[in-house]
Amino acid sequence: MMALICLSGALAGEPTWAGLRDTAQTVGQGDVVVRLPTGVSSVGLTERTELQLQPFDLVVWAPRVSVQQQVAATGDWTVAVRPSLAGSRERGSTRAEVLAGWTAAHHRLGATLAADARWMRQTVLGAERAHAWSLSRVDVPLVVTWDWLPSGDDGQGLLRSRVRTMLHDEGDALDVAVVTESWVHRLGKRDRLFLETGVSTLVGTPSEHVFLGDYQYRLVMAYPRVDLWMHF
Amino acid sequence: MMRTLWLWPLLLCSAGCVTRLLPLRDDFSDLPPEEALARTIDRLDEAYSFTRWKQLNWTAIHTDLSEHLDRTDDPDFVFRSLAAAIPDGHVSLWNDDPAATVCPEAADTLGLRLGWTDDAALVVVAVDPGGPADEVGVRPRDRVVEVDGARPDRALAAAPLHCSPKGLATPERRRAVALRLLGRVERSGVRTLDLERGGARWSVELEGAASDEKAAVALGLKAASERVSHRMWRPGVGYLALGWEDTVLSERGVRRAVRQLWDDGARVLVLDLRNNDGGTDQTAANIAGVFTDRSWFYETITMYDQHARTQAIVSEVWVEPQPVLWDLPVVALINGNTVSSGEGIAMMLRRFPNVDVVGFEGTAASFGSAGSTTWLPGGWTLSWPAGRSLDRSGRIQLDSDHTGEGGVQPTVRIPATVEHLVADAQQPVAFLVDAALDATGVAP
Repeated sequence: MMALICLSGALAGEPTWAGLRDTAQTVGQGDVVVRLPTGVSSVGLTERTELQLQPFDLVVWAPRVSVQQQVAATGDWTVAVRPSLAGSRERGSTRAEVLAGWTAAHHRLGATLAADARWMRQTVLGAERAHAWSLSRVDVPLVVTWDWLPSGDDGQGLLRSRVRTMLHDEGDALDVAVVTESWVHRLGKRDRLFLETGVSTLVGTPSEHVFLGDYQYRLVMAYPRVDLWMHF
Repeated sequence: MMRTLWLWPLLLCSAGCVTRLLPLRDDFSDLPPEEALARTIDRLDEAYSFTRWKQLNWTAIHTDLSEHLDRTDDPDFVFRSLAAAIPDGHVSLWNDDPAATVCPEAADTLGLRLGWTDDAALVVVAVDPGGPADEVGVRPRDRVVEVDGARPDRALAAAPLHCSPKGLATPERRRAVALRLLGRVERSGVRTLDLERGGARWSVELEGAASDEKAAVALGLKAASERVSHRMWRPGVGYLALGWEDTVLSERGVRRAVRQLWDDGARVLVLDLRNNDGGTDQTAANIAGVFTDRSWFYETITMYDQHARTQAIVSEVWVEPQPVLWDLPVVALINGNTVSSGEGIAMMLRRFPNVDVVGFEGTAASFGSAGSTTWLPGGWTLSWPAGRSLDRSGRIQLDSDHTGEGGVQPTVRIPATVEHLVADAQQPVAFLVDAALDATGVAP
């Protein structure tokens, strides 16, 4: 089920796993993570603050800007918050996330709980024509991750298991989850190029208007997952 | 090698990790009629969405129809009767051969339409110029006191409802089709009407004349025209007729029409859902969303799962605010042919504070997921629902139950008086629009 591709790169700097998505950790001050065009790229503003940019959010069809701030880092535990904003002239999204992580020698557990409010700019045809931003819907997704590092932090790779599901999702089916199993490998002379490869499986009955345009399907569907990023 | 590995997940999917909750398809067309009937009823017993809800007894239906088949060797009648035995507007029966779709008991027209008033009178509401009724002097407003020697209520009860190409979910629907059937006879058949006008009573004998109307139109189950239109009805009032094309295809078209009408000065909107025979659920929800500024639960859709042999939840649909909000009064018009997603729109509009739902009668009470198909001998095709629409508490919504109750009822009911029925027959679009505007008092 897993495909591995060997790439190599030669980049400078100290290798860390802080650029992993869905973790409470932040990249170091001045560090930069660049992902493929639609992914989330990051820059460390301080040791505890990370600015993130997603060029194109598929939900609102607009760029998204996030700030991840560690609010607690005690021993093995890290807690962070991440407010974010995405918007165009017609649609917007305000999202608040709480991220928690626990780290041991060979294991990391993480959980991200988000509340995503989507907004729509309506033309209101009343006694006068007006425009108003209206709350369109609220989603509450939960992501749980478990990373297994066979050789610890200094190893070349980790195995990531990830489940994303909706605790609340207006307009979509409530019984959809995405289960991902992937291997994240660092490459290059200085281990600064990362490649996550694996497979995601969508389980459940996705809403007709979001996915298939038809309500007659129940899916258990696998698709490949690739995420390439560089840590400067 | 690398390419092969990449293809693995996709190959696995195509090998069967997609399971489908599809409408059912059964082809019994090559079987003898008796066996086709038995297997169709078995299938309905297994998968039809509303057997318990409507308290249908498939064993009794099978016994009755197979005895009739043994006696008459008339499979056409039996298949028609099977469809008619299911009180559901999503059940329909048609034939590849247009000639076969003509029900022998209702092949010819008498050239009149009948109506039933709120005070239980049978009246002539329309007469076709030059038709059999016209030729013997029958006129609108004539009261029918007997049909072939029977009281009107008994004549209605005896009407050959198996001629209906669609299931009839409510008593109102059955009566509406029965009224149409009283205006039809078998080929060159004769019907005697005892009439009353201004205290005078007389009898006429009407002989059927050939008719080229399609069965659904002849029986009032479908509008003759399904044109979608919007226009200013009068100053300050916009009119938007939402035919089935709109529901299926064009929520954007509805938004455009609403904007246009507002620009033209409309501050009250008449949304005509009469004869809207549905479309996709989400599109209907999105059309309703044009008239509200917040989210509303619309439905949970279930579909019959052949493997689990039970109804399985497929998805939820919500009404969500749309890019255009009509924040002014709306008058929604419904009739008994407002069916499926057309009913869904009416159901939601009825909950919105700025909307009055107006009509003579409720909607068709048929809201399940249509589309399961059984092919029968003789070119017949039976379509029926294998899915349900549930409300937020998990109860079946809108589909009529075993008492015949269901559908969306008007918030403002236009009385079925002789004058109203005649006017509605003469002006099938305009009368109810004006009557609704008068009754609701929202027009400027």
